[in-house]
Amino acid sequence: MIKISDLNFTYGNNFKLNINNLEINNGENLSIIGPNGSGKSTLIKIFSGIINYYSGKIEIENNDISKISKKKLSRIISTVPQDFTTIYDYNTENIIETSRYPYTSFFNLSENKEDRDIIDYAIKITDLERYRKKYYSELSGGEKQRVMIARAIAQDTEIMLLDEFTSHLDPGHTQNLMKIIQNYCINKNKTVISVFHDINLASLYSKRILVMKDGEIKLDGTPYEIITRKNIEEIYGFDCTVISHPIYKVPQIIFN
Amino acid sequence: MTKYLKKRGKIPLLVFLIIISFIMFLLFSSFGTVNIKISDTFRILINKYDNSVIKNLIINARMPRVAGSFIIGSILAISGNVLQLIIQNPLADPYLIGLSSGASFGAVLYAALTLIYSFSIPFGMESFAFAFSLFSTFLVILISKRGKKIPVVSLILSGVIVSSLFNSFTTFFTVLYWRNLIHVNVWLMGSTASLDWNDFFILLTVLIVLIIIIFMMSKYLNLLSMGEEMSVYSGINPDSVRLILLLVNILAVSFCVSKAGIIGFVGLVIPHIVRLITGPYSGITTFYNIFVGGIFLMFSDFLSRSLFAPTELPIGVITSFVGAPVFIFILKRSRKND
Ligand SMILES: Nc1ncnc2c1ncn2[C@@H]1O[C@H](COP(=O)(O)OP(=O)(O)OP(=O)(O)O)[C@@H](O)[C@H]1O
Ligand SMILES: [Mg+2]
Repeated sequence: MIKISDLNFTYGNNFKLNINNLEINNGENLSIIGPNGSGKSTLIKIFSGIINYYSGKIEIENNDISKISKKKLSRIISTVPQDFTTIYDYNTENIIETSRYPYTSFFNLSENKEDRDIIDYAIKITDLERYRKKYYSELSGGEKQRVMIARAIAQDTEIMLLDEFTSHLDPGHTQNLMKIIQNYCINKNKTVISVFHDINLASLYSKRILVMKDGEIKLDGTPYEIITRKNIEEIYGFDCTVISHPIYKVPQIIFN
Repeated sequence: MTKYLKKRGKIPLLVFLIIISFIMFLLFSSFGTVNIKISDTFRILINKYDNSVIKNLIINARMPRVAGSFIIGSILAISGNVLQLIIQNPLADPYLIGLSSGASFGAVLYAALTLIYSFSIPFGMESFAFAFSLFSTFLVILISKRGKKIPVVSLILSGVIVSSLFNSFTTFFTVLYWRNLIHVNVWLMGSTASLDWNDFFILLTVLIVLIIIIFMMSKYLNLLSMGEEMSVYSGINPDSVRLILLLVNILAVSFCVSKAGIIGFVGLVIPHIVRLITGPYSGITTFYNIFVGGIFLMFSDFLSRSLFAPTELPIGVITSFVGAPVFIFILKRSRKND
C-alpha cells in the first residue's frame, strides 16, 4: 500500500503542492486528471525520486521512500516521464537496457538471459522491433513515448508511474498498451498511477480517478462520481455532454 | 557485447590504432633537431645500438617527451569525454571549470614570489600550479553547489566567474612584472619539453588509475550521460556519482597541467571525433580516447619542436592551431546532419 501524508512542496515560486492524505492500494489502477499546471507531473516527480526536497511523508508498505536507497526504489517504482530527451545519440536499445541496471551489480557489464528476455518482450509489445538500432533522438514523439513505456515494462516493478504516456500515441497503440497495462494490474497485482488529459481513457481503464487543481486533490472517486457535467465545468471551465459508453457503461464525454 | 562491436568493426580499428600509436612513437622519437633512422630507434629500444651519444639523446631526452605527450593526450581526451558526458554539455573542456586559470595564477604567483620578492618556497612552480588548479576548481564546485546538488548551469557560470577572477590577478602580476614572467607565459601555453622518465611514470600511473576508476563506474557514467532523470529511474544518485567523477578527472588533469602547462582543445576535440566513431559512451570509447588523444598530442609535440627548429613553439599553440579548424569542421558537419 502507498500512503502519502502531509506532503508539501514548492519550486520557490507561487506554485504549492499540498496533499494531506492519500492512500493507494496494491493492484489499483489509478488515474489522475486536472488542468495544465495543476501539479500532476510534480507529484509524479516527487514520487519517482526526481524531486527530493519536499516535506511530509510518502510510504510504501510502511517504508518511508526517502529512506529507501535509490537502487532499491528503482526495483519498486518505474516511471514514464511526460517527456524525455537525450543530448547524446543513444539508440533505442541502449535506453531500454538501462531498465535492468537496478537488478545487476554495477560492476557486472553483461546481461543475463532473464534480462535479455524481458527486454525483448518489452520491445515486442511496444512494437519497436524495427527501431532497436535507431537513435532515440531521431524518433517521432509517439515512438519516443513507446521506448520509455518499453523501458518501464522491462523494469518490471510493483508500481508504475505513467505521466501522460499516451499523449503522442496513435489510437491503435493507445488501445493496445492501455490493455496491456490494465492486465498488469489485474493479473500481476501491479499498482499503476497514470496521468491523463484524455478523460475518456481514464474513465474506461481505471476504477478510481483523482482530480488535481492548484496543487491539491480536489476530487477522488469512481468514474461515475467524478465525470459529471458539473464537475468537468468546475475543473476545466469547459462545457461538455456526458454519455454512457455503449458497451462498458462507463461515463464518456463529448465536446459541445 | 563484443559480438555487437565486432560487427561494427570497432575492435579491428582499435587494434589498428594501437599499432599506429607504436609506429608514431618510433617515428616521432626518430625525428627532431637530430634525425636518425626509424630502424635505429627500434634498435635503441631493444638495446642493440652502439652510438652512446645518440642513444642517450633518444632515450633520455626525446623518448620520455614523446611518450609523456602521448599519456597527457590520453588523459586530456578521457577527462574531456567524461566531463562532456556528466555535465551534459558536448562543449565542455576540462579547463572549463576554472582549472587552467587557477594553474596560471599559481605559476605566475610562484614566479613573482620567488623572483621578485625572493621568497624561498620548498617546492617548484609545477606543484604550486597543481595546488592552485585544485583550489580554483574546488572554489568553482563550492560556489555552484546548491545543497547536495551541482546544477550544471551554475557549474558553468561559476567556472566563468572564478576563471575571470583568477585571470585578472594573473594579468595584474604580468603587467607589473612582465620582464620576469616571460618564461612563465611560455610554460602556460603548454610545454612538453621538460618531460622526463620520472614525469612519464607519474603520468602513466595517473592514467591507469583514471582508467580503472572509469571502468568501475562505467554503468554510472552510461546512465549519467543519458541525463540526471535517467540515473534516478535506473537507481543511482546522480549527485554523488557526478561529484566523484568530477573530482577524479580534475585531479588527473591537474597532474597534466603541473607537468606540461595548459594544452587546450585536446579535451574538447578528441572526444568529439571518438564519439563520431563509437557512439556516445561504452567501455570502448575510453580506449579510443587513449589512442586518438595520445597520437594527436605526440604529433602536436613533434610539430612544436620541428616547425621552427631550433625554436620551440608552445604545444598549446599547435593544438589550438590544429584543433580549432577541426572543431569548426565537426560542428558544421554535425549541424548539417540535424
Ligand atoms: N522546474 C520547475 N521550476 C519552477 N516551476 C515549475 C517547474 N516545473 C513546474 N513548475 C510549475 O509548477 C506548476 C505545476 O507543474 P506540473 O508540471 O506539475 O503541472 P502538470 O499538472 O503536470 O501540467 P501539464 O498538464 O501541463 O503537464 C506549474 O505552474 C509550473 O509552472
Ligand atoms: Mg505534466
